[in-house]
Amino acid sequence: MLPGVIGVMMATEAIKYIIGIGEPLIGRLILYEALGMTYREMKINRDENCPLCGENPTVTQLIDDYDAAAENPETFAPAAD
Amino acid sequence: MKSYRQIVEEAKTDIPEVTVAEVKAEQDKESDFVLLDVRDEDEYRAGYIPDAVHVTRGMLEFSVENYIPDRDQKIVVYCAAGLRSLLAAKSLREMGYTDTVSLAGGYRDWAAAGYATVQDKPMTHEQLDRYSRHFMLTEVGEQGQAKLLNAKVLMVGAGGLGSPAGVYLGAAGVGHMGIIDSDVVELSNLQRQILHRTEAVGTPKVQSATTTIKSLNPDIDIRPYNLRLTADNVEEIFSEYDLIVDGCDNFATRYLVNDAAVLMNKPIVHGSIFQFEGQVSLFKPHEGPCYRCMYPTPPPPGMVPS
Repeated sequence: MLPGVIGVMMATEAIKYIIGIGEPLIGRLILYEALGMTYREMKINRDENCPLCGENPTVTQLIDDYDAAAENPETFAPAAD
Repeated sequence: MKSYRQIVEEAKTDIPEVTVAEVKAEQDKESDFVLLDVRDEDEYRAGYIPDAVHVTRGMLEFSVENYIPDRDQKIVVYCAAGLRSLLAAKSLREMGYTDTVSLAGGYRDWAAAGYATVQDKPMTHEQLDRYSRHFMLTEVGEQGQAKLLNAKVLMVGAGGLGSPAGVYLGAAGVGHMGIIDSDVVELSNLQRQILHRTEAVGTPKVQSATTTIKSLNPDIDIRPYNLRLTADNVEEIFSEYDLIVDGCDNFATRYLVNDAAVLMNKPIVHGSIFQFEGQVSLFKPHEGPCYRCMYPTPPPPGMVPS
């Protein structure tokens, strides 16, 4: 049942975004917990040091092998210069 | 008692008017303003100014906030000839919108000047019936439905999250959907992956997903990709879509989707689940955080069972 709740929220966000109505979940993370039936919203911020979308990105193209990187997380982002 | 002329004259003293040439020049400069079309549905259907937001004057006060939440946003209001737009612009001022102007001569002068107009593809009788409940929602309406029918959405994964998302997006009439997944339907998927039926066990998930969504709504195009998303194929595939719905089930794909989407400036609807908890967000590159802003690296292997 949980994927149904989350998947339908995803579809809702997609449709809102396409039509351009309402408040999109940009910068907000919804956390849903089924056993307690709780629903929380967390503000999430851009990281200016993000290696991908920060001010001085080090990831400027795709990594060759994402499977290998997922096995070895510290290789995911090249160190900043 | 006031005549309509008096009401219009009063509005003219409060609301600045702009010419079609001025608005065209601002549009060409990509200035920050919203064009608001307040004409009736049938007038709008016959053609409108590109990028205009449509709220009929009758529904203006009820729904304009859903389209234009920022009260300080510059708004150029237009109607057929420039009278209703004056009154609408005045109503917006009363609602606290600070920067509203009216397009003198309205759509008539815009079209007469030879500037670009657009007309949505007319809906078929069946579409008008199928999506009629959307039209009752003023925020969606025929304009919103046209946007859905023109939308190009890529669903990454046709599993637990992709199933409900795909069912609803397809039923709602998202006109062009890509579905990418390299898995085959297994019996153990069926307890939650509602796109797939018992008779589909053993067949590719994208095939089963396409069959199910097509049977819900034959009105849309679905392109199945029976393959795994990789660094080699992601750019070619993403380039066909405007929005990525990421319902993948592994970190390698999630980081790949995120990296490619940021590099190609495509928004992602993010969702993930673990046991009894789930999370949802929308990552719009450079406007909000990306997945890496939240999680710079994936957890060490073995920390999170898949």
